[in-house]
Formats: sequence, C-alpha cells, structure tokens
Amino acid sequence: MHLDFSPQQHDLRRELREFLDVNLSASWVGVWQGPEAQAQSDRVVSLMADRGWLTYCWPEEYGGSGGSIWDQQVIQEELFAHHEPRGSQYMGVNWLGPVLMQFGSEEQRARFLPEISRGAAYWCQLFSEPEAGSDLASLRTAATRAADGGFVINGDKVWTSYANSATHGFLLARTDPQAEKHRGLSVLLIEMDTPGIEIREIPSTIGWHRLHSVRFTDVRVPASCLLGTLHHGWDVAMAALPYERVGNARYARTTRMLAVADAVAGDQAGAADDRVVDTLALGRMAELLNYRAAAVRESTGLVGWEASAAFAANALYEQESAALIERDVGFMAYVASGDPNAPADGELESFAVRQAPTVTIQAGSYQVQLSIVGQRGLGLPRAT
Amino acid sequence: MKGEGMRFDLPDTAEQLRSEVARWVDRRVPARGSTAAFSPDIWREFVHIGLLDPSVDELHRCVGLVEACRHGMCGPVLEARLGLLADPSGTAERELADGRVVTSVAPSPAGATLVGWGSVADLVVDQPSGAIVSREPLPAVRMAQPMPHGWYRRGAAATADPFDRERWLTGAAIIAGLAQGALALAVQHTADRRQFGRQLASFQAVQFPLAECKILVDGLYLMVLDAADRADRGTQDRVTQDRVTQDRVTQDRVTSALAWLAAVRCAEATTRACHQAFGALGFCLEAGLVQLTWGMAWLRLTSATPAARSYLAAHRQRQDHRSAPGCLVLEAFDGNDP
Repeated sequence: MHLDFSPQQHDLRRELREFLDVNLSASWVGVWQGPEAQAQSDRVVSLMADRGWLTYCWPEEYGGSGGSIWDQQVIQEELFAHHEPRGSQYMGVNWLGPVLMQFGSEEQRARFLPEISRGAAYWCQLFSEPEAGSDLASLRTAATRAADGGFVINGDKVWTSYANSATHGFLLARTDPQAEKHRGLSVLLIEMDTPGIEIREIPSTIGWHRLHSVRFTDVRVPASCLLGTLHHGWDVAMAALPYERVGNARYARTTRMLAVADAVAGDQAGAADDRVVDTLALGRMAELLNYRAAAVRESTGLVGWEASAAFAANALYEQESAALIERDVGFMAYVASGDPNAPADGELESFAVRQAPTVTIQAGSYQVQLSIVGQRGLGLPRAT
Repeated sequence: MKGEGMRFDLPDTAEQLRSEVARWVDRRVPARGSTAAFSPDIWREFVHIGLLDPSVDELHRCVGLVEACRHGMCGPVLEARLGLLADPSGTAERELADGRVVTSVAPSPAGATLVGWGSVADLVVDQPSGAIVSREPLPAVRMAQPMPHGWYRRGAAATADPFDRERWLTGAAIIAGLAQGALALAVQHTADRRQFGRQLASFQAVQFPLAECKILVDGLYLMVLDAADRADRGTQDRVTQDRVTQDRVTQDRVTSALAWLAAVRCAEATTRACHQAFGALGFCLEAGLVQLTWGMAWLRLTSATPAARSYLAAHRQRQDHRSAPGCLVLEAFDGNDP
C-alpha cells in the first residue's frame, strides 16, 4: 500500500509543466476554439513527439519509450489539466494504439502505430448513429462485402468529434445483417479522404467543429481495412471503450479549474471554502479510483469495471465543481476565450460551460457506467 | 518499464488480520435480527482482537476496523480509541484490557452531552482533558432504536480537539465498514425480493443508486487506507523530524480530514439508497439495516465535520499564476499546522 508517485514521476510532471508553460499560449483553452487552436495543438504534438512523450508508455518496438502505466498517468493528468493540447491525438495514444496492438495484423501495426507515435495521424471514432447511441449494437451502417473482397460502406454516423481534421476513422459497421444484434459487426480502419465520405459540422455550444455527422455513400475500402475478425467487431469496440474511460484524467482538469476559479473569485471565495473542501474530498476519491483502475490494468493487462467506476466518479466531481464555479463566478463563467473580459482567459468557460455538462454523455453515458458497476462490481442481474 | 508505480496491495500481515477479523464478524456478530442493544461478550472479544491497542499501526487498525464494523459497531469503538489516547494514566487501557467498557466524551459546549455507549460504560474519559469523569454508567438516552448512549453534563465548554486526525481517520474507517455492510444487505435484499415478477435488483431505478454507493464505498475505503499509510509514515519519520515538516511531506492530517468528509458523503448517500431499496423492512430491527445506518448517523452527526472543513480551508493554497495551480488534490493543501 503506497499511493504516491515516484520521485522520477514527480520530475516528469515538473518537466511537463515547464513544457506546457512555455508552449501553450495564454489563450489556450482547448482544441475546439477554432483553426488557430488546432494549429497550436499540432505544434505541441510535434514537439511532444520529438521528445518521445507522445507515446512514452508504448513498447519501444512501436515507437514508444517503454514507460509504465504510472508514467502515462502523469502525462495524462498534466495534459488533461491543461485542456488536452494533444486534441484528437490522445485517442491514438490512449486507446487506438493499445487496441491495434491487441487486435491488429502485423501489417496494420507496422503501418499505423509509428504514424501515431510521430503525431502524423489524426483519428476519429465512428460509433454513434442517429438511431444508435447508448444502444450502440443497434447500429445500421452497412459494410457489404464487394467482389474484390473489400467492403462497400453506406450509412450515417453522428456526434463524431475530430472528423474535420481526421486522416483516419475507426469505424464500427454491420457486416452481417442477418446476424443478431451484437453479432455481425466489424471494425474497419478507413481513410477519411476516401470518396463518398461526407462530413458536416453540427453547430453546438460546446465548441468549434466539436460535433459532426458523417455520411457514407458507396464508400469502397479494401479488405485490409478489417481490424480483428470479421463479424466480431463488437469485441474490438468493447475492448476500446474501457481504454477510453481509463485514459481520461478528467479529475486533474477539474482540480486545476477549482484552483483557477478560486483565484478569479478572490476574496469572495472565502465563504465558499466549506463547500470547496467537500468537493475536493470527492476529487481525492476520484483520483484514487482512477489509480485503482490503472493498477488493475497494470496487474491484469485488462481494463475492468473499475474504469467505469472511475469515470463515473470523475463525472460527479466535474459537475459538482462546475456548479460551484457557476455559483461563485455567476454568468461571467459563460464568457468565452477571445473576449477580453473572460475570467481566466476563458478557461472557466471552457470547463464549466463546454466540458462539464457533457461528461455524463461521453465514453458511454453515466447510466451505462452505473450499469457496468452495478452488474460487474456488485453482481446485480442484467437490467431488463 | 521505466517508472515504478503505486501499490494497492495490502501487506501480508494486514491481509491476514483482515481475514481473521472477517471470520470473527461472520461467526460472532449477527448481520441481522439482533435486537440487543449491546453484548458485553462480543465487546470483550472485539477488544481482545487488539485493534484499539495504541501500539497497532494505523493501516492495520483501519483494515481491521472496516471489517469489524461490517455488521455494525459492537460498542464504543471510536470513543474507546480516543479515550485511550486521552488518558495519560493508563487506567483506560487497563480497564479495557480487563474487558470493561471504556468510552469517552467528545469536546462539546457546556450542558448535556451525548456519550456513545455511556449507559453501559464502566469508565468514561473526557477527551479534551484526559480526566476520568465517571466510573459508572451514565443516564440512558431515550431513542427509537436500542443504542445504549448516555448523558454527561459538562460544566464548562471544552471545544479544543487534541485528537482531530485520529477522530477523522478512525471515524472514516468505521463508516467505511458500516457502509460496506449496509450496501451488502441492500444488494442481498434486492436479489431476494421480487416485484412485478422479477428481482428488484433487475430494475435500473434500483441498480443505479446502489452502483453509485459502490463507487463511494470503494472510494472511501481507498481514502482510508491511503490516509492510514500516510499517518504511519508520518509517525515513523517524526522520530527524526518535527511534526510540521512531516505533515507537509505525508499530509496525513489533510488526507484524514478529506477521508472524513468523504465518509460523511458516503454515509448520507448509502443511508438514503439502502433504505430506499429496502422499503419499510429497512426500518425494522430484524432487517439489520438501521443498526448500520444509525451507526453512521451517530458518527457523522457527532464527530467533527466542521473542524475537518475548517482545517482544510485553513490549509488551502492559493496561487494566481495561470499555470501554477496543480492538478492533484493534495497539491491544493500545504499540510502545515495553522
């Protein structure tokens, strides 16, 4: 029992903070602020790749440095706390890479993993559909076998983040329409500039090009796009989602935002201290639950229900903190980056208005996380 | 692998202790159906396990207390612990070792003060002063549920708490055990009880609050173990370093206060969710739930929550520089004494 980072990890954290202090502008509040933010993200990703930090914890054979899960935890915490300057690259590092290592062919691993490690590939996840959200297995996008062995894709995906900048897509599609719901699905690794793919931004309050719809009309892809076994894509997707949950150090950003809000609110915050410390106690709980999920992954090689417990705790902490910020800062919390009067250059707006309200609908809804905890953590029966 | 990581595994000795206490609880402490207010025999057996022994380190004590309280508190667990710390004469320790019921009075304003298990006590210690204030049972408190608490009339106010860290940590460990027990009872009840032709547990409206409790209960357990480990490291290192320096390093008081606040949150949520899952049966003594939820209420409502909040608020660090605020909760506190 020892729940501290090592001195080397403290050093890594310090280095990261210095790096981010130098390389992020004062107006940086995340990639979803406009084209300039995307360009800034690209620069930071390139510098991180040069330092070997982008895939620091991958095996060396795939372009990593062999860092431990705990080194990765430090990196995730610092980057997420600073509004994830990697943008979509975090997906490549945190869950696409591990899933490719687990399910990819030699050819796929040789092709995609070094690209991710160099920061040269941008991925998007193509799961949700207009009629398939939490009930993901009811998706309809069809990938029909073509005469040449490849696939022809038709259908619609929705709520896709990063589709505008993605070079590749991680697509879950139905390859056997006769099979029952969870069977007959496959994962295809596609290039997003393939003819027949139409991307449209869905304007929202949560960020520039944050959400998109993606239409596939007779999109032809080769057989080599298939990841894993044909018709067994559900297993691949279910392996990917927990990595996504355990890879989001959302609690780190929340804790930092509470401190930023405290500085903004100044003397007014004194009266709020009682509630803030109760919330920080919840934050410490979220931290430890995330560390437990990392420890489970380290010891078993798998991401279990503990990742869902951690993600749900992150959500509780994030939304309680956002409510505190609204209470202390008022409607000024809604003034965004770019406005000269925005509190903390818009950091609070990005957190409390754009991020926190959506935490309970990301990486599986909050209710999905609770179902997983209830059924796998408590042994409750499957709900009907 | 480059960096070594955190270790969640308990030392072998703590695992053995946990198993032994678990076996004792399952064998001797009824999980449900007991209407007795207090069993001197079970209290004596609990004391002889040694969890209240001042020489036991906090990690082992907390691991044991969590297990020991899964079926309810068998006596003044927190009060005896603090009474032993307060009494400089060693009388309380000797009386306890002889199987007597030792309890203590928490800091409080002047006037009538509630004392846990005071009406069955053989010895009552005043926590702030360490004085022995009674050698006989105190007048019983009238309550709907048989809890043998007693009344003590304090002459002058005594509000300084010399054992805040121990109160927060021990109290959090006990609540972790009580909450685990309450959740286990509720899960079992929802598996056994059928409505609309199916198990209660198969309804999402029942599952979700129980899953939220599971998250809080697990999280609290981790916080207790972490705070206990830091307290032990602080105790060891204070041999060569002053307390202020070491508090800054191990943050044992900060983590204990945070664990206490988390315990209060966990107790409130678990009480609410488990009683809702149980329905009317949950308020009947035969179900065993009220013994746990009233135990949590006793701790969360009589222990020093305002003091924990004040301590943490006084130790929060404020930084104005954009990139300066850390992203870890313990970075938000300096850990120094005021």
